[in-house]
Amino acid sequence: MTHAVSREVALRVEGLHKSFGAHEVLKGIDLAIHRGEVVCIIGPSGSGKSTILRCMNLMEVPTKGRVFVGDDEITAAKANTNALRSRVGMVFQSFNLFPHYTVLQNVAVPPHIVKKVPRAEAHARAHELLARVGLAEKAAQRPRELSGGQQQRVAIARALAMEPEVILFDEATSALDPELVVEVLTVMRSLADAGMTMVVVTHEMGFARQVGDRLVFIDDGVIVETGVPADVLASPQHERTKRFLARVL
Amino acid sequence: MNTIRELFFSWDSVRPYIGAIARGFWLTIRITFTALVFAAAGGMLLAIMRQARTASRSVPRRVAYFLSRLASVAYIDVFRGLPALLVIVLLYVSLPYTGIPVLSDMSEFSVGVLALSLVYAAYLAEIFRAGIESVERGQVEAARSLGMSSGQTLTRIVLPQAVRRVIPPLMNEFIILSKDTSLLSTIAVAEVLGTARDAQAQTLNSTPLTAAAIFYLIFTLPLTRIVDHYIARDRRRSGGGQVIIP
Repeated sequence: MTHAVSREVALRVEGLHKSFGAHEVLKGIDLAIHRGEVVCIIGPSGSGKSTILRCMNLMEVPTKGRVFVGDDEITAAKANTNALRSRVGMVFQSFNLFPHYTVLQNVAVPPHIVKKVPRAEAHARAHELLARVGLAEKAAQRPRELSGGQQQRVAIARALAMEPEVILFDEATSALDPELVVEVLTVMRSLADAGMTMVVVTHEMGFARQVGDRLVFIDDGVIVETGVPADVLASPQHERTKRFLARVL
Repeated sequence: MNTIRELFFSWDSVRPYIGAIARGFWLTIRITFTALVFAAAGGMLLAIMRQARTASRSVPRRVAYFLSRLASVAYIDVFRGLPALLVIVLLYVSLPYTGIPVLSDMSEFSVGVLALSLVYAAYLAEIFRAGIESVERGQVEAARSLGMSSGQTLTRIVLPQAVRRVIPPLMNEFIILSKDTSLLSTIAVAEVLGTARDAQAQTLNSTPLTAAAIFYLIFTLPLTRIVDHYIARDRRRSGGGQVIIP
């Protein structure tokens, strides 16, 4: 599947290094995500794929290297980190909905307090977004009353409410029971079809093949191979990619 | 048996004093609530200071955060390590001679409230801290990823969850505080125990103390039941494990 990909860069990392203590997780990553593009990142556990994502919105501060959102450097000393972060959405493996808010408030409160969107407008927009992820009737409930798949769809609506330029999905379906994975992937696919720029760390090779515009294989902190998903999955060029795919496919 | 009844349950001996004891109890309630408000505010401030951490590489900021943690830890350690009675007596005998405008002419009531607030701020700080630390890291990450500042994350996301989780231990502390107000009888605050003790001294009969005990139980027993109710509810919701015990 190819989406209408612009030549404009939405998100870019340059020479990204990240160490935790003596352990170097990322060893120089260069990656540019274009507007409208869906980039899927795969790799063995511990390869650094989640760390790349977490550096992209400064959940982790890179040891070395630069991260740009559009033309603005998020890693610059004088960068307004909070403002830049609100332009990059993130969906977590463990959903991380706010349990003390209703489903509606989870989606409506962040734009209200971060972007000063008037309350009524934020609520109206939240209702629209919940309808978009198929959860209009759950607005008044608490997150704990929802299934995992439903919670993750709320988390996607919450990320969308900030009108981000790109959304990062950090193994968004890994914590879900198999029968709940589909509903989340369906929402993600509809976002991709609507032109959203997405970086997706995933184990769902089917999703990568069908929805991804580009597949990036990471191992041991470096990008080993990148290309059109169907090609990489069908005929990987590198030995490490072959070995990994032989295990997971 | 009659001796016992006469000594502890003699309505005739307590009747002339019951009004004074009731007023003493009312004072106890006022001290408890006033001290609770100050202690909660102070405790919250100390808890926030104690968990101040920054990812910033700026040296002045890191030093400021470190000093904030240090000040909080020092305060909590000192006031948790001292008997409340010592703090009460120390302030009572010292403040009038300090020559500091407001402090040197405080009433016994104010000195008592101040002392209890200082001591209980340290206890409540530890409870709030446990609550703050119990909020999952993912909550902070989700809030920050949406662009919330660290302050917004604290006030909108972390503290509301933290405070809810520690309501049972907070209420326990509230009950203990209400009982510790009796220590103020040593500095001539006419709270319920002091008033009852005076009545006992005049009648040589213990019934006024029984009355004081009954007043306390009227206040503390319902609170104890509410705490148990909260704990049971939290356990049902979380399947155990989430309740924080200080």
